[in-house]
Amino acid sequence: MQNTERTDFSLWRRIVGGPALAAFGAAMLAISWSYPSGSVVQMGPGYMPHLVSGTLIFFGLAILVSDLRTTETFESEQPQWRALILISAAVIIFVTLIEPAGLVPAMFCAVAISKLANKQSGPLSIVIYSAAVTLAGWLLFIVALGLPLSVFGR
Amino acid sequence: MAEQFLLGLSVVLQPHVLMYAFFGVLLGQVIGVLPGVGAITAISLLLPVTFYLDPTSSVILLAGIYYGSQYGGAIASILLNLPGTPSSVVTCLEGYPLAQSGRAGFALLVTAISSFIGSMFGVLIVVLAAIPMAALALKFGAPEYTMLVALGLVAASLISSGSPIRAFSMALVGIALGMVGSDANTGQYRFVATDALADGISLVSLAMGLFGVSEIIRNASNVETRKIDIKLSYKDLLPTRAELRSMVSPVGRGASIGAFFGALPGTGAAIAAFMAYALERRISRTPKEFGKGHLPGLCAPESANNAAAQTSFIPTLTLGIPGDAVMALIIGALILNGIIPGPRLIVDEPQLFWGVIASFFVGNIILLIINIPLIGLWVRLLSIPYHRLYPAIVLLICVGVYSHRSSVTDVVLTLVFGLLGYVMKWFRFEPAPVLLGFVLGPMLEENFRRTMLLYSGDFTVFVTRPISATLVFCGVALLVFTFVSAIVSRRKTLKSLKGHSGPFSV
Repeated sequence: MQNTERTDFSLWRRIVGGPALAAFGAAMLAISWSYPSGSVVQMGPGYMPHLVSGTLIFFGLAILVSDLRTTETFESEQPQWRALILISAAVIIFVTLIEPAGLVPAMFCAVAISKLANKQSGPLSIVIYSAAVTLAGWLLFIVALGLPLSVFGR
Repeated sequence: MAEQFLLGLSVVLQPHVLMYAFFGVLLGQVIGVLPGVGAITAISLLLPVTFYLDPTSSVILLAGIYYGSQYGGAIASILLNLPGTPSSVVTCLEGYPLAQSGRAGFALLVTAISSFIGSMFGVLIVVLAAIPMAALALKFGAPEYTMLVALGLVAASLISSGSPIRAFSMALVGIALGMVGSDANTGQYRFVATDALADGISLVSLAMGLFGVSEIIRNASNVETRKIDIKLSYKDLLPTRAELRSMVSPVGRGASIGAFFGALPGTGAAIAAFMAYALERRISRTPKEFGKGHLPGLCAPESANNAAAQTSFIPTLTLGIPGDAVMALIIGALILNGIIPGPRLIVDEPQLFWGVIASFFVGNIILLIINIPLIGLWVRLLSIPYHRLYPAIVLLICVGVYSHRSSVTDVVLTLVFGLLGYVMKWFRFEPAPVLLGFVLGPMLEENFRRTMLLYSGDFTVFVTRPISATLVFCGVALLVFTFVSAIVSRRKTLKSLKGHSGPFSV
């Protein structure tokens, strides 16, 4: 949204997209290789996966060719590495804490870490904000919706 | 028809159902106002909640978010020149200049009225079309369904903002993800890497990852706060008689365009709004007035996108085939609640079917009522900075996904899809077709396999049966049209080398 800026469609972005798609197709074909494909009349579980993965490989290569030939420029965004790493960390911490420690610690940590993704937040405001959101989360999930989750510990 | 509609009304007017209808449209209005949070994100966030509701209330709630957001989207467009939803992009063109000239209150009132009339026209079309469409759909066999799903996927890819081949590839990726789990016919596990995947990838994980997590990563570092420098004045609030008269036919044309494009697969509210605006401009006797706050240019697209938001439920409810990613989520919610969407829905679940349709009627009245008097509140919502909002959304995503199946794997997968949804945009791949492919994929495979089994591998069945042949013809016509217009436009812009990729999906 606000982070977009006008750059041209840089070379590495042209080279990676198509092959990544083809690689996805190839991996899919490799995994589904052993699934019996059957015949057209009696399709086995492998028929559609083989068809789809083959098409994906073909399209991936077609996209590579068209990307290399294009002279167009495109609106592209700056990678938000800080947000990417911290939001991922927040989700990972939630996953690791939810079962051993319970909902409240997991919620607090996830909110606090994801709040760090924005540079504007100071330490005190993070603690106050996270506590408030955790309280709201507890009210919503445990009190109002009555989810069967442990609040603290097992 | 009136009888069934009254049955629907009796369902909606039960206090607890009415509450969900109210809650849905209110939430839709709010997230429509907030730029950066879309209807699709909000619907994915609420998917897990619907497991605790009956199916009727679930769909009423989720649908309310969708058409409610069409009302809210206009507010940010008019006051900030920043569209709250993709379908209110054109609203900026006339709404913002009108607000700058001191008539913001008037612009908001006019859009609310146009939206309401457009929606009501859309609801009327849904009511009129429901029984004939469902009757027609009952004649559909496996070949027709195969072609219908295929047409839906092709149409959605061709009409999308970016390149058709990219969109179609993404739909294929969605189909591939939909294959994870046990094969419906033989029961063999496919792509099951861990036991947690034996039931397949959860729609909740996929939707929240692709649309929730990736949007948060994209916008989390925004620091600027939005300032509204337009004073909301209530002078000249009410339209004059001449202005009212000049609104009538644009609203009517907008509603008709919207109702038509909404019902087609692949085209939705955003395209309808663009079409309505373009038409008004072309037939206007004063085309120079556009861009300066010209009333027909404001009413027509608003009426169109709301009408389209309603009629997009026609294929979803009568055929069980979603036309876009939002409808795919609604279908997903039905399936997750144990209801099989399709032409039998109107017969087997009349309460649900007509209840949902009647809820559109009631919901739009609620929206009109909450829109105008609470305008001050909506304006204040606009000034909430995104960094106060997104950590709470992270929390909703984590707890929502986890609570669905008490599965840690689902939460990790959500993150994976979030990163995928974020990174794929660097390579100009849009996430919306993935979701559509994920929901349509199993339908495609099942019907294709059944067709081949029933007609012993004879592909000509697709062109010898009349309904199926019509669908094939539509698909081919669409393909030809797209390629011809692509070649024509390439010739035109070959020298100027102006690139364009749509900033909005959905």
